[in-house]
Amino acid sequence: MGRPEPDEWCEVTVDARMRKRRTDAQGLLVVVHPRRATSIEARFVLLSSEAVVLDRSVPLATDGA
Amino acid sequence: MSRWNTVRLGLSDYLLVPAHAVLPNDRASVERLVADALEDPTAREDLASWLGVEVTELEVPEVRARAVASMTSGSWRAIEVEPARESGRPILPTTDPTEPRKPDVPRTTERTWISVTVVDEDGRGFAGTSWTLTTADGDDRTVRLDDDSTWRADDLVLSGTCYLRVGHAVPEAGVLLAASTNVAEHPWIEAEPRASVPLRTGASHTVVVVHGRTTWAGPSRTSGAR
Repeated sequence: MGRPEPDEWCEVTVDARMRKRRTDAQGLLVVVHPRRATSIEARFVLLSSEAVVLDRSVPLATDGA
Repeated sequence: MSRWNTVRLGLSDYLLVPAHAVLPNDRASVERLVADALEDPTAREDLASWLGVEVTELEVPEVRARAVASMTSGSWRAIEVEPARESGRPILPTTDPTEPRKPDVPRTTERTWISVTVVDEDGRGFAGTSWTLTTADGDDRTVRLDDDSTWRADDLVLSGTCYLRVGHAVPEAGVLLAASTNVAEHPWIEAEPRASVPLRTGASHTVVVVHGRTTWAGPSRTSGAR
């Protein structure tokens, strides 16, 4: 796996709400969301591979279920 | 190199510019300015940031109409402060900007309203803090929350979608107003500068400020097929 791409469009769906965000200069994507979110998905629009979660400040409501 | 100087006055952010640097705000000129901005990637981002929307949302006619309305109403004025950029097509002043505006949208005496209460996920309010509400006609209102962390306006001139915006600094939450707040039942806004949330007029909204944070590493182009 090479260096993550900067400025890459990503569709972030938090529960049922989708928003579009772009990766920063380091290829990282930081999304602020409800602490009690049930599900969070990140799908890159132009790339087929999945994004990798590096850090999450709180566990999701469904974690450990 | 600038065609003319802009002069910063005093310690505040006042700029002194020549009158002919103020672009005309008749509808045709403003629509041309917005259309030009949509063709320039950098200008698109600036336009989206100003409106508090994603770049992709600029394709929505209502969003573009909001940009036009805010400038034709005089709430915002465009000022040319630098010469033509390589990728841009600046609109030069063609009329005297000091002439009284000829309103192209008849004013109505009817008013609509909106009420906003801002809390965090723990139910704490933001009493005394200031936010910004961009109204449906593009006007920016300062939202100063009262002791109940609520603000209401009854004099909005246009029904539609308003945008509550954080601004440049996220206020600190204050006293507890409720045991907790169910995010699923309310619109929420990210606790980060320049975040915004759409709100309809004619309704009371409880907006929840959220603080959860997830960081992803994006895929590399070498690891995925396009």
